[in-house]
Amino acid sequence: MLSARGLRKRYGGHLAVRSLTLDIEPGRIVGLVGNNGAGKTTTIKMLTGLLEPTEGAVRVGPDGGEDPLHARVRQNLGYLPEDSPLYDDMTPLGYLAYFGALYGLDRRACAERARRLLGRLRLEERHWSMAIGKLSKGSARKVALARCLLHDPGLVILDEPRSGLDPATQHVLDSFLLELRAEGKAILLSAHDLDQVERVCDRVLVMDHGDVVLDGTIQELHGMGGPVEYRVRATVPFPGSRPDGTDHVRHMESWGDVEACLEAVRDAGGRVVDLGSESPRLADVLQRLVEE
Amino acid sequence: MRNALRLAVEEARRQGRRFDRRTLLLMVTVGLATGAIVAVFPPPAPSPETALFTVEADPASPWLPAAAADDRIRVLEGQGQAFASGEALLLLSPEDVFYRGDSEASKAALEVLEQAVRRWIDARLRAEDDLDAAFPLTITLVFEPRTVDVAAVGPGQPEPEPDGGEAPGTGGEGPGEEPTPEPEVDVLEEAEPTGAIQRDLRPEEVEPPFPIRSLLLTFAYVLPAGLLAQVHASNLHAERVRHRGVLLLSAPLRSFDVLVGKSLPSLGLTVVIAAVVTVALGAGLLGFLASLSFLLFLFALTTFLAVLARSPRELSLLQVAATTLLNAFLFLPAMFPSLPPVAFLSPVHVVATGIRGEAVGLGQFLYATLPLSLGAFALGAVAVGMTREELLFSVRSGTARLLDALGAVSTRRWSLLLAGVLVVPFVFVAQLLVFVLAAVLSLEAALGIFLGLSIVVEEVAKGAVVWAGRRPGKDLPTTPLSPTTLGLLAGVGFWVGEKSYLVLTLVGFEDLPFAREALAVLGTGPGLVGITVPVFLHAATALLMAHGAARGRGWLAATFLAAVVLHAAYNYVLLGRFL
Amino acid sequence: MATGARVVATLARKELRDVLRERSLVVAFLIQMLLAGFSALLLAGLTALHSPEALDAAPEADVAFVGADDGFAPYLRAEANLRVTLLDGATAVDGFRDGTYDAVVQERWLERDAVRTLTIILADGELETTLLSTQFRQLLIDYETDLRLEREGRLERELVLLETDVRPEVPYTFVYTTLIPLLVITPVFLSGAIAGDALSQESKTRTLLLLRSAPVGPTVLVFGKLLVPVLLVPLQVLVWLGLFWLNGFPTREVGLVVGAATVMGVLLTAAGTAVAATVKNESATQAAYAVLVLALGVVSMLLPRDPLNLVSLLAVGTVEPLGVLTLAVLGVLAAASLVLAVVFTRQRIVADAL
Repeated sequence: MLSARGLRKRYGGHLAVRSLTLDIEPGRIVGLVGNNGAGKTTTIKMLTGLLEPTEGAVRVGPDGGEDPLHARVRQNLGYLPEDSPLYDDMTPLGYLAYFGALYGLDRRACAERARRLLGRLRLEERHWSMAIGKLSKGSARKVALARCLLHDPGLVILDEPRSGLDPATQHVLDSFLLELRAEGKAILLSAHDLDQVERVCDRVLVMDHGDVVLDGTIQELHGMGGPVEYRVRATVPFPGSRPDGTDHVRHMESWGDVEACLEAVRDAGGRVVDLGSESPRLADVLQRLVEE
Repeated sequence: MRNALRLAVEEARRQGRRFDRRTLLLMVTVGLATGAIVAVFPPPAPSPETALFTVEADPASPWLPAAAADDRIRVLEGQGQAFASGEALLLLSPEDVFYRGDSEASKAALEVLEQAVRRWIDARLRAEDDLDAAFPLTITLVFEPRTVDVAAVGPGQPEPEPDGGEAPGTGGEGPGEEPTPEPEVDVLEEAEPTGAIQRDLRPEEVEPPFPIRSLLLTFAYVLPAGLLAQVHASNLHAERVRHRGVLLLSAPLRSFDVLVGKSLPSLGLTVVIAAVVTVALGAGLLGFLASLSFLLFLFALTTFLAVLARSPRELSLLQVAATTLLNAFLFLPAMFPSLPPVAFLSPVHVVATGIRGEAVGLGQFLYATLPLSLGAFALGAVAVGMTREELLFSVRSGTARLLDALGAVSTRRWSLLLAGVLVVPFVFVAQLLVFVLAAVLSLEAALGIFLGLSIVVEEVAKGAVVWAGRRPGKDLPTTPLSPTTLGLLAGVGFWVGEKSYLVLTLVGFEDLPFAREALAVLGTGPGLVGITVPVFLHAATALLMAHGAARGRGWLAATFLAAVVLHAAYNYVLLGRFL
Repeated sequence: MATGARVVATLARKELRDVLRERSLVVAFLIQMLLAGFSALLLAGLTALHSPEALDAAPEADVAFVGADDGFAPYLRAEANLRVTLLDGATAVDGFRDGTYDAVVQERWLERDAVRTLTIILADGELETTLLSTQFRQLLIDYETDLRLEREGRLERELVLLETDVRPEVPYTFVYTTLIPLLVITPVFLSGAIAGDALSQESKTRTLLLLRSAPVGPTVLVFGKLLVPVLLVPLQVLVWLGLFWLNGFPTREVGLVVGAATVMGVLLTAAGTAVAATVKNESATQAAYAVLVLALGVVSMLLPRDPLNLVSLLAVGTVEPLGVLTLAVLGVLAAASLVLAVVFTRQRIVADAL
């Protein structure tokens, strides 16, 4: 749905984005991660056609696609800017109707779709006709999100959609994103919250000072962190175990070893109390990578 | 207070960093470009009446040259077609001048033509040899102030007998006797006038003095002080918008400290400006004090607006409205210098008088400066009252916040009285505005509309005080006062304010032809009775509305209507008795 | 996808709602109404003071006359409200000082055929004085004219006279040269301020990003923002002209007046928008716009007919070459400024500088 090649952005003497290449495919969620100033928002603005790259090209749409700098391409794009700006004196329904008109939607169809979206996002109906300025941050964010999807775009780009939200709302957001993915939309979201990235993204790009330092699927990233660690806890000692309270524990990295230990415990007539695995946390992985 | 001063210093430091370079560059460029253009192509002075009157003239008409010489007249040559079609307002034929009796425009054109002809003749006659024949009149004019007990000497009174030892017996008594022409006494020498003597005037130059120059000079006060007040208000407002002010409010500072501290540098600067301009114009001490009254009012007003407005757009529009209003209020009364009761409504007149070097009485000074000074104080008090977290950052509507402000002042006994008093200057201004707005619609109906609406205005003011006192904003505690106490205090306060103001100001103007009627309209008859009786009216109406307020909005509305009716009945009776 | 027209309409509708909701228009209207009201009051007062005929009864006044009885004195005596007493100088002045007399007039001449000197003393700061001066002025004019006629034989040039008692009953000149032009031009300034404000608001709250990410070209965006401020001008002007018409002051060339105002409105709206696009910060925008308006006001005096004069002439019904030329120049300037502003603002938007 979207492909960017060799994106570069220079502001005067400062290089905000060095050379970025990415693809977003339908039915996939791509995460863009990095600290403040890493170049995430600049990249997103280039991807959405709001900023002209110094070098490189962006193509949106099937079959080669078009340059998002042209207005009509944005008919298929839903963009949520950072801190989701809104018109405080409009009501959610009014706000959605306004943008619906700008996107050329039929008024009645738009109103229906607006209600459906707000319902899916779990915004209480009594809030639908209140001034946005009076809503809580989470509710306001839902309204902003609804606006992105009003015209049923194939491509959705969200700049830090989770920032400043309480856990309950974040959860609603996550489920919603997964639903959208199931519908076949191509989604890009940025965050410096690494946990979210882990939960919903298929693919992650890590940026640091304008560079992409990491690019891979979640599995690949997990793999980079080092092997998965298995642990076996039993009532009887087995090869390689050490006593831990009344039990015996062993950590190992190979599944073959785990099978061997299980056999050994069974032979010894003991009982396996606990069998588990621990993948290295992505946050630690990324931390380590950024430090390098 | 010390905290306020510390804040003030900090604020002064921050004032400088407001405008970024790009903006300043833009403004400077625009200024320089304009200056350059004007220097190379100096624009002519504005002449609003140029070519305003179209006139048709026969080439043989003797008035044609005069018409052509006047900028205000546009001449078409013809024998009457343009006049018939309406394009020309006058027709100058060789014999006559024709105008249209049903057209005001035509009559105005005729008046202008008359002036043009006179001017043209004068110009031509200057080339004459016999100037005594060409300009047979020389006029010397003096406007001499005098203090006179007007009531004692009126029309129809017999002339006073000359005292023994007065004028030498030149036999100048009674009409019909020709005084001997010698020795010729020049009345000018006799009178030794202090006013300015205008010599060698043309007849059309005989006009009453209109001190437009000193009036315009007072703009020297308003412009810089106004700009300063605007900037201050924008800064203050900007802090609210980003909730930056919260930090200050949560610090151990009283809201008084916060507001005063932030305002002090600009306030001080305003006073300095006033002093500098006073010295430059030579307006004297009274002029300085008078200027302070309206400059401080302007400052208080813009500060109040900064605390009230919910967005910069709202602020700028409110500011424009308020400053236009204030300027109109300041300058228009001063345009009637020959009507002191009207002229002294404006403190600008005091300043202008000071510039001309003339004296101003204490009563006149108070009359001119009290309303605005009281108003400034009132606005300041209300602004301080509003400088609280819940009030500053609320998004409630404008009227609700005004009531909040009033409520912040009027929840205690003495402040309730004060609220009643403070509301009075605004009531007077509002009544004046009502009259003015009605005048726009129709001058004749204006008086009637004014009489009706002025009652409404007064009752609205009392109602607001009562409502705010009883039911302040959601976030403020309700007052513990009973409705009766509330009503009585508000009503009495209002009465005190109204009567003190009237007593202070209209005393000394009782001899005005309309004084009695005006006082009756304002609810005061002559003498002690006239002043004290209204307290019952105000107390009664306020009491009524207080009880209504205690029961809620609907009851307030009902009691308000009842109050208006009561007041109208009272006025009707009063006007009937005293007119 | 939405058509350009629908987009512009949608943007404009929201713009209108914002303007109305913030009561800007109401406030603006109030300002103008108060301006008109105060001016009406001033004008009624001045008219009454300067034309005693307009008053129901000219107040009676006592004049102390010093001099021969066959010069100016008969003119004074002929006035119904004046009581003339012949006195000597000292008595006259004393009488003036103690209030017996409202004016002292002295006439002196060396010979009857020579120049006649009139000295007039009136009381300063009194209402009667204003009325008396007006009355005296007319009498003096008549006196001089009569004297000239008497001495016509001594003059080489012919005396051309025009004497009439006809006076307009309404302050015609004041209304058409000051009141109407001011009220027509005020909405023009306000529109620029509203347009500039709207743009800097969108930029500040970053809602401009939302609009930009919609399939709306930046040019259409700018037009959408400009439309309402520009349209407000003819609307307000029509209301004012209508109000004046009802009060007996018709405007002859309504179309041209509205057109001139609208053209100026386009110019200032473009200017306001361009300023906002340059400056961004809201309060700085206001200050910069104010400076610009002042500058434009000064420069507008260079036009063949300055804007106030132009409106006066059109209101009165005079369409003449210089006026037409001014309209043409204004039209060209407005078109140019519109193009420049749109291009500039558009460029700023696309460069993500707003």
